[in-house]
Amino acid sequence: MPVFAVVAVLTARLTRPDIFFSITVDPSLRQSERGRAILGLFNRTVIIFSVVGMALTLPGAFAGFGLAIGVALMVAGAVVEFGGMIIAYTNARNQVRPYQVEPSREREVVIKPRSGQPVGGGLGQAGPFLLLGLAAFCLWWRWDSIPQRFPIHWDLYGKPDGWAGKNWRSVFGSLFLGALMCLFFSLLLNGMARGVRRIHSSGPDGEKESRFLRTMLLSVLALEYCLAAMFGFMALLPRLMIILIVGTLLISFAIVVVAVRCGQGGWRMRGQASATVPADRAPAGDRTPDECWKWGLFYYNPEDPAVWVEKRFGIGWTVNFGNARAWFVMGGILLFAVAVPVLSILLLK
Amino acid sequence: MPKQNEMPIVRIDLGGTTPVYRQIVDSLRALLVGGAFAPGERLPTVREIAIDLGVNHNTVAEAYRLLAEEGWLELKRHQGATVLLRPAQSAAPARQEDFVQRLRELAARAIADGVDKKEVADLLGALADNLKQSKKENL
Repeated sequence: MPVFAVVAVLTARLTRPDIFFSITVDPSLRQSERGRAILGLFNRTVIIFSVVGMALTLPGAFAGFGLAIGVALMVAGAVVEFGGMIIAYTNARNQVRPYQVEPSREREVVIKPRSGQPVGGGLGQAGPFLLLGLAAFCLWWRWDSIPQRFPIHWDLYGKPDGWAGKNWRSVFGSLFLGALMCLFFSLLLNGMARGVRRIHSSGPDGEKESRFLRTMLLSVLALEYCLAAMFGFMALLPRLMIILIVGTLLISFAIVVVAVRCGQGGWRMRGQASATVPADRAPAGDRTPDECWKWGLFYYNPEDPAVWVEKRFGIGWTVNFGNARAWFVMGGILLFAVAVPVLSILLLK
Repeated sequence: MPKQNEMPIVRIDLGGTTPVYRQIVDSLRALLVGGAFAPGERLPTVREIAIDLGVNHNTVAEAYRLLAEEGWLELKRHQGATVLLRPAQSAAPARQEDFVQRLRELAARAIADGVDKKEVADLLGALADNLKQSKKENL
């Protein structure tokens, strides 16, 4: 739970300088006395609600109350914490609103086709599938050595508590699931490479943005490799799973650190300082109208052809819910979220 | 006019009085005349440009269509636009007079807006040199 509070506090600082609590503002506001006061109040509110939430959750989890009371306390704690974040965010937005400025109506685009090369190269993208394929080959090669009954789930102490019989579903099922998850991420990152809007095409901002996009997409590819290794080892050497799980968590943490160091759109990355916006020109913002952002978090603009737009509160991208293609993307994500657990149950019986 | 080693960029103003498709046409034409693209080079798809500019696909498609009519581009369904080697055109005298008049009006407006006369003259001179240079390289 403290993690969520830390994420909320950090996120408010990582957005583009001319986007403050999802509202387009003059870039100087964030560093001004008023801007710092708004940010300070947001931080304090988040922390207070987080502490109160933990004060409810921790006793519920560890104080030995009955199940019903324990669960009720934990739920109450979560509600208080997340409710507090919503209150803090809404309050901050309301305070920033009087400083809202109309973003620039100027747009630019580099007249150069987007690279047809897959992110990380063809071999780089095939890598996770090759890993899983190699694991499948090893299992097929050593089929006779596989015991008639083997563990497929372990408890918190590393003791097996779930078993499967030797059949093709149980043996290859985890590899199939791994391939499915890697395919999902592969489709996602290639779709984003082609569909993400470039806000700046030239100058230091354009260069940082390109590097940011490449960094984030390569991070997703790295996560794919982790998944492939995890599912491969789950099938081949289940006793080493804990190493892989720890490794994946560490890599995920590293990705978060990288994202924080980049800032949204790469504005915090090393490089030439961004060009100062002249006093008589509106800030670029993220090239989306403020009024199309519902509660500052959900973008709905049927006039905008982009499927992926930069998040206004957070790092990365979100979908344009006003675009029909975005609903296919969301449908695909939902289908995947449902399919994986269902297939896990069916395959790993 | 862009120099050969600069990235070819189209800039538009959604709040301007000129229709957006016309701004795209004029901007692209300037790049094509300046030799920013070699004949046979493929341009981004309508969708890619529309996404980055935040405009409707039809707006970009109209711009591409107009440039294809002028002989700059070849459009193929699902393959985007390819730059053509446009045969030299010979302008009618009325066309040249119209161009000179528009150039005169543009210069007058720049001076009225506060741009120094000498600077306007220097800029026009630099543009002319750039044009001559690009014409030589395209032979």
